[in-house]
Amino acid sequence: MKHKKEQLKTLKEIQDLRKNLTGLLGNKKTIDPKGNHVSFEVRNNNHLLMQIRSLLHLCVFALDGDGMMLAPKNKNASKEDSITQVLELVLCILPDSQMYYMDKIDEVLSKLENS
Amino acid sequence: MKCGNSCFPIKKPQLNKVAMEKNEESQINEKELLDKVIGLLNPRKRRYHGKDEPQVQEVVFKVENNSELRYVISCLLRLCMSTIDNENELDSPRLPFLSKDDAVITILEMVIDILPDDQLDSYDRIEKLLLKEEE
Repeated sequence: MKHKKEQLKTLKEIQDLRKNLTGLLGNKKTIDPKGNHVSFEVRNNNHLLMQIRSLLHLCVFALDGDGMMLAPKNKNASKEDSITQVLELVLCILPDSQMYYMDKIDEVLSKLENS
Repeated sequence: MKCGNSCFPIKKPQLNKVAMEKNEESQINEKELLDKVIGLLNPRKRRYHGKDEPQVQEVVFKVENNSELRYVISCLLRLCMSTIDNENELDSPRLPFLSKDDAVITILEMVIDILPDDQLDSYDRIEKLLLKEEE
């Protein structure tokens, strides 16, 4: 009986955590309850455009072996800058909350097992 | 300007009542117009990280689930890799399943997702409204 109570408590703990953690896909705190949207932060529209530009630069560089941009507007595109931008974007969308959540689940479940 | 005014005071034309009313009316109209323009804005979700930090805006893109998020991340990294190491066409043994072309397609899809649709749409509508007022 006591064991069952503990199990319920653990389940409740896990559920509460899922409800209140920001950054998970599809809980109360996300925009879309279905859990289909990943979000990252930008300063303004210009910053967003800069991110988009770097992503496209990388696509061009990856497809075109020489890494040459022909249009005069793109002359200043540098591989290093684009890579830096994109890596920064990757850092922003890493699943931090998900991993934190996994660790917490692991923690409470092993506590339950050992008790 | 200041000095000129004080030295040679210009007599202001007296506003008659009709003109004043007209002025007021146009102010009200401008206020309404401003409200309309504000209504047309499509602001992204804002977030503050603290008092001194500038506010940031949230951009979202779609994924199916956490595995797809991981896939998107690996595509991004893959693109970075092939950009750094362009001549070396040897595929990494750690990522044999992920071809460069697939990565490019995934990222282009993501780019389409994060294009500022709503913002451009607002811009069009605001422009239409303001240009109509001007006519």
